[in-house]
Amino acid sequence: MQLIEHHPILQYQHGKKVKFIFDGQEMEGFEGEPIAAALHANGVRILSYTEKYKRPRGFFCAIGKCSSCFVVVNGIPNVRSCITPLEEGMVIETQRGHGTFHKEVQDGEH
Amino acid sequence: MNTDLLVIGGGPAGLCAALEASSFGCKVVIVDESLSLGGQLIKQTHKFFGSSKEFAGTRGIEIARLLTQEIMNKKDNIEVFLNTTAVGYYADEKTVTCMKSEQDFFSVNPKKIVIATGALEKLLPFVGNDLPGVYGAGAVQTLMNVYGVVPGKRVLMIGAGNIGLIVTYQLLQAGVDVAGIVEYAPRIGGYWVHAAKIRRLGVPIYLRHTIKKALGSSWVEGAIIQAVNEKGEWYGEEKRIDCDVICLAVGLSPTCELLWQAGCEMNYVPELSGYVPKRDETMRTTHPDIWVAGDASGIEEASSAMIEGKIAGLSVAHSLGRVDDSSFKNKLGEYWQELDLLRGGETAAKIRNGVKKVLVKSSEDSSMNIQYCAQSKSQVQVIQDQDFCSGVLPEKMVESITPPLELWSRKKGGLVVIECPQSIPCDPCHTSCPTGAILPFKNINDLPKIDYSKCSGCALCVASCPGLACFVIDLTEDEKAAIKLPYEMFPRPNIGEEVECLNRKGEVVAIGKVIRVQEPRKDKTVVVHVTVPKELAMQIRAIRVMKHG
Ligand SMILES: Cc1cc2nc3c(=O)[nH]c(=O)nc-3n(C[C@H](O)[C@H](O)[C@H](O)COP(=O)(O)OP(=O)(O)OC[C@H]3O[C@@H](n4cnc5c(N)ncnc54)[C@H](O)[C@@H]3O)c2cc1C
Ligand code: SF4
Ligand code: SF4
Ligand code: FES
Repeated sequence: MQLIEHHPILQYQHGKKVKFIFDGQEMEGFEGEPIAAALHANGVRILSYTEKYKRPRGFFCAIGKCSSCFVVVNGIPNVRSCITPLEEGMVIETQRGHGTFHKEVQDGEH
Repeated sequence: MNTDLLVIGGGPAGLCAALEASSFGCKVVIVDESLSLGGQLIKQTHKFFGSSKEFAGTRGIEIARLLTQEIMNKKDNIEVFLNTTAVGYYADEKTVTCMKSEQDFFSVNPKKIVIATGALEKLLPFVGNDLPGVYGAGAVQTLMNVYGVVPGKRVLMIGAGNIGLIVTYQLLQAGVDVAGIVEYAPRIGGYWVHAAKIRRLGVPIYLRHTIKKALGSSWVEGAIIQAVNEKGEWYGEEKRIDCDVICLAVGLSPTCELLWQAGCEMNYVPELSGYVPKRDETMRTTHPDIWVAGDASGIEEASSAMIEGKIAGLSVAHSLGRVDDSSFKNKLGEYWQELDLLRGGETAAKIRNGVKKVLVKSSEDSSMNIQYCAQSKSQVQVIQDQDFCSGVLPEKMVESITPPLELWSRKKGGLVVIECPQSIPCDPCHTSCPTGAILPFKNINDLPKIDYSKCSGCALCVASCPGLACFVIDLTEDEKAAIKLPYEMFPRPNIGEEVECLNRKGEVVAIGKVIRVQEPRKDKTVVVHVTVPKELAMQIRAIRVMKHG
């Protein structure tokens, strides 16, 4: 992971290390930290492709206000990855277009 | 859920509103969509300006910690929901709907609401501005200062306001290379001392330049910048900058969706950076149950956001009958005095004008001793010099900061040299000086004045100045001068080590030797004592540790 190792002012307190899947690939991140931060630390900068022109999108504001960071999390599209905490075993996918609900999510408890 | 007060947004404004209202016995609920309390403060590693009364000289992260601690101590009265966004206001039912972690909805029925939702980064139009790697300055800060993730290898900063200047400095602290800062205006917009800090570390500022294009197809691989003339037309050669992050620090605009939804009367006020609600002197909007505070009411500073929060909290408690009229008036008057002090200086003229446009006086009660947005007397000097406009003290101004030579040349321990030529609301140099050599400030916006005969050379001001603008120079040795300068980078130099000595533009002009390293305030700003050739004593203003090992 691309983490800052030494800082003159800050001491980082990371949460528990957990594994998650991004587009079929296993990655590591810290529990409770935003999904977008975990992905960036793993070198992932493209989070979605736009509907019409298929332009790549990354995050922009990182405080939940611009919707530039949508990904699909456990089948649920349009999740703001910059303010959604990472959990063990999450299955995250690049979002393409406006996103559709999988059948099982619609019928499930969500 | 029922409550006396719902505070939307847990930044400095919201937290202060909650604390103030709960101190009068109000039940408070705070919702914040991020994962911790503190708003913008949790990413501010630098020491804040302002008055020492309002945390000046303290790092933003530390202020966030102190406020959060206070909130936690009031668990009986204040309930906090994190990762929770307030998404809608239903006027008929007086209900606010909230969404926790993008899936669970619940509603709150508060008697009163304080909206302290802060601000959103502005975007700038240029080709490729949607590429991954074009990040808001706040996002870069969050990534590196909150989560310790390296934002990129080489960053191009757009905008030389305070945020652009501070984030540049923070990038350097995190070990990230900054290619330069691009600024459209002919001078930096942020505090001069912030610019000086990064100039002396070698980061160029391109004044009267702007970004034309982000290069790359999947993510940022570079940028094209070009100069603009007075009419705003392109001129000169295009310049390619290699970078993998383009960081936008071109301003913030108030987050005001909920205020619109609730039908508050809104005005577009450029001085406050966007649409803001009309409010009276208690921060109450035109909606009788809704108050506003902090950046949501106009982009300003954490120091003023905190006072506005207190005013809103106080007024909510008053409207619920928890504070009697006379203590309400007294406290309100006190808070306004503090606001006026902060807004008194040259740099706050914009804010004063903006606030005047949206402030509606709710009462003509003359027993209320409130001065609205008074202007203090401070010398406004507009200096046109190119270097000065980008944070470098020009040669011709050096004399004005030089201590009297006959005293200086024999003063063991050295004398203070202060490079703080712009009036800003800040006073820790004075409050930290144990000998009274830095004279009391009549107004927080005064420039520091020095009585050299009292200076002991102790360098406490060097360690305390948030602008890193104080230095102590000892000329009593024969060939060498000893400079005590502030240092906040990694790694710390060792005693006896040779270091590069940089001038105000970041050029290496000598190799110096470290003779002492102190941390007087135990707050991670160290004072490095370094010996340098005597003739360069008034040029060298920073050091760089050469690669260890
Ligand atoms: C780089 C930088 C340097 C700065 N330096 C200084 C300085 O030296 N001195 C100084 O005084 N000030 C400084 N500031 C300014 C200061 O940080 C801000 O003015 C201050 O944080 C504003 O406080 P606030 O409470 O209004 O908003 P914020 O701190 O932005 O907090 C708003 C909060 O509201 C939450 N929120 C927003 N919308 C919703 C919603 N719908 N539902 C739930 N929650 C929501 C957000 O998650 C956030 O936590 C600096 C700012 C930056 C970016
Ligand atoms: S060096 Fe010490 S005595 Fe001199 S101005 Fe600074 S704090 Fe005051
Ligand atoms: S010299 Fe004084 S007024 Fe200037 S930045 Fe430093 S502490 Fe503030
Ligand atoms: S990056 Fe803006 S909402 Fe996530």
